[in-house]
Amino acid sequence: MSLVVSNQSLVRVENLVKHFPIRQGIIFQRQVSAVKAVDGVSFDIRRGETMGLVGESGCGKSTAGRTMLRLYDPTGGRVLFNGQNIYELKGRDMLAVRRKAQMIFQDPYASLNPRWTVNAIVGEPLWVHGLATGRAQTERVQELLKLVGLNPMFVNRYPHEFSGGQRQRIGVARALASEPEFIICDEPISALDVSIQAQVVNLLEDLQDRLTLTYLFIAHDLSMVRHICDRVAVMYLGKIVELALKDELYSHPLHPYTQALLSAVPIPDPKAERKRKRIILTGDVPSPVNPPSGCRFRTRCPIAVDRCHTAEPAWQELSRGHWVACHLAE
Amino acid sequence: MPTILDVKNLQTRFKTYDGLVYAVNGISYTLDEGETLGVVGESGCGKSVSVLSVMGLIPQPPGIIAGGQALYHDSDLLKKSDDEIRHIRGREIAMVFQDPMTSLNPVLTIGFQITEPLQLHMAMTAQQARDRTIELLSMVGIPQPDRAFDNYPHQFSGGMRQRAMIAMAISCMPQILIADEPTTALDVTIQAQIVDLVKRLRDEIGMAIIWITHDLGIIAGLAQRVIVMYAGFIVEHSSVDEVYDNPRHPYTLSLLGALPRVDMSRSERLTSIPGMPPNLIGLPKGCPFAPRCRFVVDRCREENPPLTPIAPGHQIACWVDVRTGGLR
Repeated sequence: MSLVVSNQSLVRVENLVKHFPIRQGIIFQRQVSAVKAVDGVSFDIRRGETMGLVGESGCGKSTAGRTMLRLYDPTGGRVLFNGQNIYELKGRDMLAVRRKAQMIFQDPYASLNPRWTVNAIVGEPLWVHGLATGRAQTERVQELLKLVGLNPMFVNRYPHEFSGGQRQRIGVARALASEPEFIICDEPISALDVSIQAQVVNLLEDLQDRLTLTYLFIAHDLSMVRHICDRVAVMYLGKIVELALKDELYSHPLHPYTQALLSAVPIPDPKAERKRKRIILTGDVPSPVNPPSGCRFRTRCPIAVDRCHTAEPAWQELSRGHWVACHLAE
Repeated sequence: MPTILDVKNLQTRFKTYDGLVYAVNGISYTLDEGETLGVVGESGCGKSVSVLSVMGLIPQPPGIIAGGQALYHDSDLLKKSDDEIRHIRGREIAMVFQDPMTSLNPVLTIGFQITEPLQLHMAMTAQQARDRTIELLSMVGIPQPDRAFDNYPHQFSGGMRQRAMIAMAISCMPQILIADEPTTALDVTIQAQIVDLVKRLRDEIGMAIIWITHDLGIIAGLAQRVIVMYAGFIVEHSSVDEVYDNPRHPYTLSLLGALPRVDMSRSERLTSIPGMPPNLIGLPKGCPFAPRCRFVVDRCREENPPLTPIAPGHQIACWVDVRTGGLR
């Protein structure tokens, strides 16, 4: 949780859409349908805040994060970073945005090139953006390693010489190298052991306070999201179904999906567990190729009515800053 | 309740090029009929190996069962031949593994894989086994079980595969079900479905469960007793309420402090455990947790504390009293 949150929005996402085409045919390929991974997502992130994006696997949260940084080309929508639509930028202007917006990936084993030394991995953003080369680069890399709690003597080592938690620290150092304002953390801790998760989360919080960073924290672990975030958005099948300040969302969830999701998280307290009533969702998440008509959650919703089959619920602000897309929420 | 499984001083090692890996170092526990025992620890702490050893599923070599006993109905499972243990495994003690994709055979239908133990252990005819399998599939909540019978694993989602694995495990009405992180690969909503299912089946069939996990949250709602493992040793063993209300080993204390809670707003920092999980090559001289422990005293580096009772039904392996920070 950050200390300083301004009212000014740093990133504004407007109706973001990302469809992955499904093609058929060998030579003359035609598109037969599409995986609607992200299907109209809008929110904004204020300078200095940590925004959480949660949902089950396959709900499109990682795709949304990657499309926001233009790692995928969007199918539609706009992303304003400091007021500029990044999808219209080219060349040097885009490079400047890339410097200010970075990403930390989930799998610390797959996201570091095994043939590169730490110096090359963490130093790459430095020479790409012309910030430092040669000796100055190595010195800056050593500074960054110190910042994330690694021994600066490790600059010439390779990723396989590090444990999972240490690798994730290298990933954090690389993201910090270009002095970004905004970092998307895509499940940065889900591959780590419990005791190491706390180390990395504490590191991310310390860095935010020292460097005034803005985070988008993508995760499926709702308890960790409650710990680290200021506001939380819940995604289901390519759409955001609820968005609110974290204490509001966790104490008064309005969308039945959020309620079910929260009730499914186990609590490390046997007495509290015995008293809880679980909402058990039946079945699995439907395919994003053919999402259900009307409200996408209606196939698993315990309270769905006829209207949910036909009309898509509007995105409405029910109390100050608490947005929800459900016909029955009040 | 009578004891159904009594494991005494189990020791498992592995030969590697780097040296001998001491995966399980003399652990003892009992399991009562109908009881659920939680085994908690981080990856590489020996929690899986400790039950795989009991089931005779450690390949030897490279594995070595260096000592101990696992008494099941007064006969030692560790001394049984492959042929003898095969009659117990699957019929009386069944297992559910972590990854349902790699533990199901991708080229055989779900139905074939569930009927196999029924025909092997229960001497059912093909038709009886088919009927029973369809009944089992509907018991674990798979829609259209007669169609699912002829499906292949890739046609199932992760949650359905794990249900099929559970159907297979309970097919012969086992007395003990060993669940090795069965929900780690699943989403929370699916995890809640599976935990709910296992609880229901436990009450219907009356089987005992050993549930291995790294998630202290799941254990809280499921187990009656908990074992906390670190570096192949049991460091704390107690009833579930005691472990959460009154954790007395520094490792358990840190693990609980490292977990944020979904039902409480806390702004304080998480307590992280410094350093890394230990390398298990060679036995540590003192307490294996000493290098990461915030209560460490000189004695911890010299002598490994044995598991000793501190209250009825509550044992810990630590020299220090975490409430005062002094020696116990």
